[in-house]
Order: sequence, then C-alpha cells, then structure tokens
Amino acid sequence: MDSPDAAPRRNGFSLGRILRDQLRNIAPFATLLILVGFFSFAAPAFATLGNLVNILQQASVTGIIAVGLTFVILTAEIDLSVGAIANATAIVLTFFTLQPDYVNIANIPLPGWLAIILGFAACFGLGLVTAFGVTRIGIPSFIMTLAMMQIGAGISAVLVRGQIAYSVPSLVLTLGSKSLFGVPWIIIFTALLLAVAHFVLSYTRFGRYVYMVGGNREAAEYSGVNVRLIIGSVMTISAVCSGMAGMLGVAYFGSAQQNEFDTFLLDAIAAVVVGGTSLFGGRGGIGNTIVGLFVLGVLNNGLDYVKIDSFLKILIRGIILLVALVINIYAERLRATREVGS
Amino acid sequence: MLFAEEPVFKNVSIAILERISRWLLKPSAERAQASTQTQRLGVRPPGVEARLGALSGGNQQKVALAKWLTRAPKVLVLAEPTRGMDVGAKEDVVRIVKSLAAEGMAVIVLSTEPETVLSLADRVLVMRKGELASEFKDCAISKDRLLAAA
Repeated sequence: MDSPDAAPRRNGFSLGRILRDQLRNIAPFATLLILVGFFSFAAPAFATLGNLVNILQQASVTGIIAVGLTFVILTAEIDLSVGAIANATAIVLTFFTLQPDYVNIANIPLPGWLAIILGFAACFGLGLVTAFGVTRIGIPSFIMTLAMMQIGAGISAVLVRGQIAYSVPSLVLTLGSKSLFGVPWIIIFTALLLAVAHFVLSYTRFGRYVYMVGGNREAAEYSGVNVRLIIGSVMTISAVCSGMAGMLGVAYFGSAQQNEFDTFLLDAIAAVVVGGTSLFGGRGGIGNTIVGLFVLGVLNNGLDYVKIDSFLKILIRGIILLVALVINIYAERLRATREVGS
Repeated sequence: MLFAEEPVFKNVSIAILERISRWLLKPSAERAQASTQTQRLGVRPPGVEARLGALSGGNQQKVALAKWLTRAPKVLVLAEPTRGMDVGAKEDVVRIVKSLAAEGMAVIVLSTEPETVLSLADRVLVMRKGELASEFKDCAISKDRLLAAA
C-alpha cells in the first residue's frame, strides 16, 4: 500500500483486470444465464411467461427476507433469525385473527388492522432485542441471532401449540395471494420493497453509512459515524422485513404453523451471497440480491421441470451455495492481491 | 484511517456528510468539497473518483488530511503525519501544515521523527515516559539538542 509516488502503478486497460474487479458481479449473472439456457433447452415448458410469473412468485417471500439481509451482510454482520422471526410474526398475526371453528387455538380475535399492527410490533420488537444484544451488550450477531432464532421458534410454538392456523386479515390475504391484472400482489410488493431498499442504500446518507461501516468499521467510527446506531438499525430492518415476509407468506401458503419458514434462512442468505454481496461487508447491494434471487428461483423452479430426484435437489442447492461462497471469498482475495502486488 | 475500497471523494466527504445532507446524498456537493481540498493539498493523481487503495501511501495521508480540513477546524491534531512517507510527500505535508498554521489554525503535531518536528514546530515539548521532559521555544532548536532532551 505504501508504494512511493515515484513509481506509480500502471493503470492501463486490461480485460483481465476488469474481469477480476467485476468477478463478484459477473459470476452471478453468468450463472443465471447458464441456468436459464440449460433449463430452456432441457424443458420447453420452462421458458414461458406463465412460468416466469411462477418463478417470481416463488422467490417473493425469500426476496422480502433477502432485502433485510442485504443490509445486514453489507455491514459485515449476519442474521440467522430471519426464518424464525418470519414464523413468529406470521403466527402472531394469525393468533390475533378470527380462525375457523375447527382450528383449536386459544387465540384472541381482533380487527384486521390491529392484528397487522401487532404483527409489525412483534417483528420490530424482536429486531430491537437483537439490536440491543449486538450493539449494547456486544454479543456477536452470529450468536445473538442464533438465540433469537430459538426465541422466535419458541414464540411460534407457544402460540399455536402444534396446531395450524389458516385465516389472516383481508389486506394480508390480498397482498399475499391475490393478483392485480394477472400479476400477483406479492410480486408487486417484493419489487417495490427491493426498489425502496435500493433507493435507501444508494441515495441516502443512511445507505452510505451502511456501506462505510461494512467497508471499514474502525474508519467509520473515527469519521464520526454512529456505528452502533447503523448496526442496530440494519438488524431491526432485517427483523421487520422477515416479519413482512412471514405475514405475506402465510397468505401465500394458506396456513401458519411451526417451522414453516425454516428453509427460508438458507435461501435468503444464499440469494444475497450468490448475488455477489461480500460477506466481509461494504460491497454489493440490492442489484446483486435481485440476480441472486433469480438464480435461486430459476434453480428451484427449473429442477422441478427436469424431473430430478427431489433428494438430489437438496444436494445441488448445497453445491451451488458452496460454489458461490468460494467465488465470494475468491473475489475478495483477488482484490487484495492486486492491492499488494502487480 | 480510511476506506481503501471507496473512491477518494467518499473518503473525504464522510467527515461532513451530515452537514451536506440530512436524508438524501448530494454527490455533486460531496465531489466539489473533496475536489477543493484535494487540489489544495496536491493529491496525486488529481480527480476524486479514483479508488483510495490505488493511491500511494503519501497521497492517502493527504486525503486523510483533506477529509478533516473540510470541517474547517480551529485546532488540528496530527499524529505521526509523515510516518512511512517518502521525502517528496513529507515535504508536501510540511508545506501544507505550515500554510494552515500561517492562516491561523492551531496545529498540534505528535511525531517521533525529529526532521518533521524541526521543520514544523514553533514550539516543541519533549515527552519522556509519559512526562514532560523539556520545552523548546523561540530559540534555535537543533536535532542534537532535541535528541539529547528526549
């Protein structure tokens, strides 16, 4: 880093250099193109407009969670509680909604709008607890959110006691399972949320601080950035996004029960990381997450079309995630070596 | 301490972001501020879009100085401002700090390099084991006397 002025580094045009710099952006996009090409070739029914809507709809719940996780991972933290908080929020929502007679839950029916507010209050509150633990007590987010994962699961368990709830307020039902001129509301909601998140990250002071805290936490602290406030905020944003995903997810799936959202933790982390947002923070963003969501969405959907053994499907997803992690770390290392050498 | 992966202007503007904007970023104002300060300090290469990590150590140091000058401080405290710099960059920093002092800014420099101290200071306090060992003021300060006192 301390190379003297007298010997400036050559900054000539080099395709290799650009490729190395952009590896984290190019790799996910190339993966997406290859997957789409493969499935279109292997299954003619895959590349249809109707199936595109399917893919988007299937990716929506993951997408809403991934929005919050993008903020978290950009600050070089992690949130393992997203699935459990989605579940807990979903169950709080149904707990305060009038259920059909055959549902045997000692719930408290309230007006729809109040149930929704209580749902938001639940995920916001859980987010604040995470934020407090991470920023004030100093528990690493990895461990803190592991505990919150258990707490979320516990809230779900206590409220439904092994039962299944079905009814949600009509607004949530519309957004989660109805369509507007053939386009499911949940896709519109997810798209809007992604757009808002992109705006916040790219064009607001808060967004800049998120990137700076992720880029170099100490430098951000010494520059007068309230690092704890930023970290606390992203943990809370993540919890609220998870809560919204949970509420809409119940409407989308048609029921709420324990462990319903467990798989979404891995899917959402995978979407963010496969998209190319750095696990070390400070690099990436919503654009990357969108590509990552498409990669996972196309993969999950396409594997159904080519009639692959469903057990093998789990393995393939694991391998894809591993490859993405390798590329993620490798992209970071390439940058680092260029800094020192060349 | 800076952000190696970010462009120069973001490294400079981070110190005054809350003065430039309340909610929405104003990148043109950030660039203008950064441009003014980096030109004043002679950061090479000129231009505020370059990734900070691509600059030499001396120029990164100047960016760090530019960052705090955007706040127009009354007092500037510099810890080891010339450490690890080549001769040319050191001269630049000395010239810059002297001109800031000439403009009326109070500058406190902490340094373990006698050359830097000698070329910058009007008044030198020598610290030894956490205590004030000696003071030089308004008199000829030579490297020998400085080292003897330390």
